Amino acid sequence: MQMRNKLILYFATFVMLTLVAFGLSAYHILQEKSADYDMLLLEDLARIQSEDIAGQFRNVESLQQIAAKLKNQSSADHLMLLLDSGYNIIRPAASDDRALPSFVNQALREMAVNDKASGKFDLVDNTYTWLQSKPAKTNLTIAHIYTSVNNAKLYQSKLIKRLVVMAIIIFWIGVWGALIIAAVITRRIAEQQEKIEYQASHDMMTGLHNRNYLASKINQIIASKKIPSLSVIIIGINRFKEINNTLGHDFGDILLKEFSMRLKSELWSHDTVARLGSDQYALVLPLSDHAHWEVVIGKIEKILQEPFTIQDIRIVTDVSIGISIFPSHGKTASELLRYAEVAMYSAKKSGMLFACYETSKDPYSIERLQLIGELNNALDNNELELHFQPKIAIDSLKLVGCEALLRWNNPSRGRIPPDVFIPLAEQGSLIKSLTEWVLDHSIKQCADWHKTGNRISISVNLSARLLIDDNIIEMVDLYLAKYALSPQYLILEITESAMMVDPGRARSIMEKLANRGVQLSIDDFGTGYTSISQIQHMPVKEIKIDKSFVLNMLEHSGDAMLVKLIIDMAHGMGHQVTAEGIEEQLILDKLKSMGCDIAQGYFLGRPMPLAEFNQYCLRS
Amino acid sequence: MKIKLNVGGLDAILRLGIGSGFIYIGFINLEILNDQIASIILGIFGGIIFLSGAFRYCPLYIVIGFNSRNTDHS
Repeated sequence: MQMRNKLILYFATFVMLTLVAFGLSAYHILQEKSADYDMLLLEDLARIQSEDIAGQFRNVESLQQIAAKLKNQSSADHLMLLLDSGYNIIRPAASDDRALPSFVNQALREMAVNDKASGKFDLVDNTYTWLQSKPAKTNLTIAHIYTSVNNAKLYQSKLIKRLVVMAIIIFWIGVWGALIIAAVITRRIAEQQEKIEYQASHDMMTGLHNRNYLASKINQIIASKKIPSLSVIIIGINRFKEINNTLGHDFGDILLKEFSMRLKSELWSHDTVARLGSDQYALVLPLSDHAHWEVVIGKIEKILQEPFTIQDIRIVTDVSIGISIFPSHGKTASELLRYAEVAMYSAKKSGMLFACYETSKDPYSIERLQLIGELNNALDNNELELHFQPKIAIDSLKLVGCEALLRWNNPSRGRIPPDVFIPLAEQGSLIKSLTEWVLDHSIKQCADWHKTGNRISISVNLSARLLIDDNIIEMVDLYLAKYALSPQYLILEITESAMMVDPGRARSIMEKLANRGVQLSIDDFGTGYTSISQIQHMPVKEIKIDKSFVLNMLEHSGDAMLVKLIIDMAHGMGHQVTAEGIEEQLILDKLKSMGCDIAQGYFLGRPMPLAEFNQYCLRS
Repeated sequence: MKIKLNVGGLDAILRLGIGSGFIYIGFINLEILNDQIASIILGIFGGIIFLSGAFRYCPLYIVIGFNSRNTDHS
């Protein structure tokens, strides 16, 4: 039965019982009152009769005594009445026509019919006994009526007492009943509340906590200020989408459940394990040191050691783990969760088991977004500057060219290194504007030098992003024409990896550039995965050996051998070789002995601003 | 298992008072009610109340999840 119906039933029963109890007691109280009314009437009559007798029969002594008795009559059990010869009650003519109680009428009737001295009859609940006597010298009759002991009054009082007792108990039961019902309702509401809270804070599929709960928990821990640091760890199952797509979502769900079970059983604090999204789990550690991470990561590895067997298919999964730390990475749960997620994706990307959040690796960090905005303004505010690093021909030690390098002087942050802002620019569309700015200024500068008779070439780095459309060709054409510089003095440096993003398109663009007479150079050679056959067909003039090989040439014979190999190979293909990173004379000598053509490095000249570079040119 | 007492001081005094009153009416001074059935019922009822006050334990409090002892202390 529904709770509401039950309540109504209980209430109705209670009301009915109360009504019955009070109805009964009211009825009996009324009965008692009517009985009293009868008695008053009879007493009244007796008084009148006594006066009557006293007046009428002054000489009859016995009647005088009766009159005295009548006058004082007050007993409820014994009634004395004076009757005339016709057995009618003597009452003043027309003065009192009140009806007599029924038991009196009955008694009078029986006295008239039975010529006996006494009799007995039952009426309603009572038994009445009557006596009659005729005093001498009169024709009157004296009637006595006795009411028996089992009278109504006693019964009534008993009933009322029982009702009162019953009422007390009913009241007691009613109060307790109401309290119990209230308690039951409260308990049910509390249960529902609990259920709702559970649903709001738990992931329905795995029974772990959900993101909301974890976030509020983290915020709670942070707000309590009880612990100085905490780490948020996000675990992402690798290639989960693949599993879902190949084996079905049901399968994926079972895997997630199984994984959750293992997580729950293996990690000690269930409280802080949550499932964030499809294949992401998070946990919070109240510590941020490496040793604890290692323990947790070890446990996660242990979880994954045994393959998951689902529907007779054995699946080996691996995970990527991202870690962010309070307070060094973020001060709110949402920040920490986001940063841990970024770290997790960076781990996933690099194929590592885990990664700690690093601002520089986060493409979305606020600081980086700010920098992008400032970089936008930098172009307009003239905050950019070109520095030039000399390139020297090794045999003649003469200056043959320079590499134009972009510098950014941020008014509030100072000088920002190119390896910070170039990747930023590459993420947005800014790189195009930057390259255009560099081309504009470096071609202009080179043309200026040529006017003063300093016929050196200028090298400009080209980003991979520019090798995917023809804009770069238009740009080069535009500025070469604008400053009337012969194309052979412009060297565009392209990294190996840039060429490999879209080799076909890169090659076509490079060919178009080469056809215009622009020199092309492969930058950082040896670090990428360029296939040698492709290099052979690329229209390049120069190969720049990466400085990582050159720097260690003296210590590592392997590096020296590689450098020698690259030089020989490049020469074999008809390319010119430039070595970067020359920091001492010995290296220069060794490169010379290997037949390297051009050298570049701090030993020969660091990147310098225009004025300084002009001085340098004059010196050499 | 130790039964947790759940009837507080004032509550117990009330229970002892009401309970002993009913016992007096129900079992000792029969003149007041002058009715056997009413007396026995009231007496038993009073006895239950008296005992719950004397042992400071009320099973119904457990059902409704109430405790007058704690509120006394606080």
